Amino acid sequence: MSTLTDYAPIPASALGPALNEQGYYVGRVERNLYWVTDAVYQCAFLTTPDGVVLLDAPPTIGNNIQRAIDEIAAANGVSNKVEYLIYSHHHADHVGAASLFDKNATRIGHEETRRLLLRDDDPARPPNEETFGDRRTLEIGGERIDLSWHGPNHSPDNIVIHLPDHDTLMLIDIVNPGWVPIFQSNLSEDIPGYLEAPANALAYSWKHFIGGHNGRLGTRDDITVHQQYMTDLVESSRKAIDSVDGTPYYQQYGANSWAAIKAILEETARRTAEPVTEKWTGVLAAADVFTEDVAFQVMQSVRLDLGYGSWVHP
Amino acid sequence: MTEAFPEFAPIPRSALGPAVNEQGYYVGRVERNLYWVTDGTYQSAFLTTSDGVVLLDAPPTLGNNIRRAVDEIASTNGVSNEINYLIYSHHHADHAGASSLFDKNVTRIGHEETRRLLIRDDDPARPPNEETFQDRRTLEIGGERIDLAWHGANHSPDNIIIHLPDHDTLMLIDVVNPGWVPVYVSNLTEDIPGYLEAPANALAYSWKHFIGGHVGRLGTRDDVKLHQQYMADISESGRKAIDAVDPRLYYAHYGENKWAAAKGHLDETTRLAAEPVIEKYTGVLAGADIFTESTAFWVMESIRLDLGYGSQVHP
Repeated sequence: MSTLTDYAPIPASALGPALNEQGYYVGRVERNLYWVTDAVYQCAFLTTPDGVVLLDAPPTIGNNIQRAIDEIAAANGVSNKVEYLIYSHHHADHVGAASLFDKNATRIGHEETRRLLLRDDDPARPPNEETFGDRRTLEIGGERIDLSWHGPNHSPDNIVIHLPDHDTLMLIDIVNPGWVPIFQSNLSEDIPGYLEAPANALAYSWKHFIGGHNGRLGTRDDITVHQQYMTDLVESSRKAIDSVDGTPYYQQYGANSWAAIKAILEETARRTAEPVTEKWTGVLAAADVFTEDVAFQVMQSVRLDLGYGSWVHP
Repeated sequence: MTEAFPEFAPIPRSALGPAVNEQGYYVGRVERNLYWVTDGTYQSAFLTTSDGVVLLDAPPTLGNNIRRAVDEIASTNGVSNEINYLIYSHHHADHAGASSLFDKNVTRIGHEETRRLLIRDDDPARPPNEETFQDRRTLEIGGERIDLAWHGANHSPDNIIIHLPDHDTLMLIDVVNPGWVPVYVSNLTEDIPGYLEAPANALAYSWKHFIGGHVGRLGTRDDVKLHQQYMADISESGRKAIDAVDPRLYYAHYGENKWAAAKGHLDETTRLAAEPVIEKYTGVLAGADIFTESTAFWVMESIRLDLGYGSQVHP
């Protein structure tokens, strides 16, 4: 283990409820909708007369998912059997405990999730048999769940799960309430789609937000704060792209083009991040840990997708 | 600039291409009437035909030098210098951002996803291609054959293979940089499983000359195989590193700062994954000491998130 860096303290507003001895917390979101967390990952479930509908199955929560369900089902005298599992997207860190549940459970997700799970061929993540393209409304045990796909963002298959009768929206790996995105904008593939996703979420009617990370639920204000953080990065990246002159780097490195590019882009990412890190440290947790990483990915998308700062040889 | 320039290993001679001229470009023949242009970092290509010139990509760093290179060849060979067709490899501005330098009546051709992304990006420098295709399309322009094929997402969702069977040439941008390692996060790639698979798709075609879009020279089949080996080494080393690093140490140290723990854990995993690969390829592939760690990070994340490797299920 290399030397561990010291970081700014975590704002109390970023933290959620304490975990029990087994390492999880389960709580009610609204009526028969519950959420479970291990303080880093989150999933949720609905108890219905047709059994339990599980929304994601992160492996770090793993067998604690069934414990959480058992706890609620016993307290409320309802079925504890997971009959339906909805995948938010294909990544192993959010659905890698899927195989813990009955193989006869109905697995539902986007058609691209199915394609990617077939590609990934991971026994821990059985591909969803039930799919949809743009929108699908489920009625399970009298409860309504609206699934929709607004295009690629974090991953090509990431969907919005809206529970209109529970005032809740679930959208994973976009906004981490109270926290900045991790590495490379939450390890996002499509940055323009990632930047647009919060507005898509806010277009729905809801009060409670399930973001998949970290230890607490979110509010509409959390989404707005995240939007502002990302907007600040986009704006700062444009200024940084304008302000860095590549010439001295190319002169210094000569034939080593990759050395020059690394130096130019790292300086651009550093300048992009600097004012944003300063503004958000103490507001969003880990702004000092990951802003430079997020800034890099945003700045690259501003260059490559939007074509900003593109210099055309005269 | 706030820091001194770090020093890196010398560039192997084998990575370098021809010298650029005073205007900052080199143009050379690939085969028959197919030519390539480079500024030492970016590359495009063009075909001179009886129906005018077919341009393959228009990187802005080459910019107006594309026109100069076409004029130089056309006047030497006594053929038309009029660019009537422009084929986009993918939508990114760094390979297509000089598109608007050419007549707006030029026929622009590319994948249907390239069109969708260019409409989204709304950049006047990159007019969306009107001509599209989905999986495959064969063009016959001025008697020359160009096969376009899409094998799925890799570097970007819309990146295509351009095969010129009668010129023994394959063009596939931003996957293999002959003589060099990929730049940042596997050439700034969106879909890593697709990126890892792409070289095999390229090798399945018959060709001798490879146009990769970077850096200063053309490639060979051996360059594509060497890149495959480099990426396979990173994948293998990534798995070992995932197995070797215990995340609990980091989560215990950082307590409620989960993101500090995640960063400590994954940065250490990346460092371990990259270390033997940097040692093996420094002096073989240019820039191995510069970008292997960044590429290793992205590959390691794909191994974790796409393949589910090393996933620990809470008991």
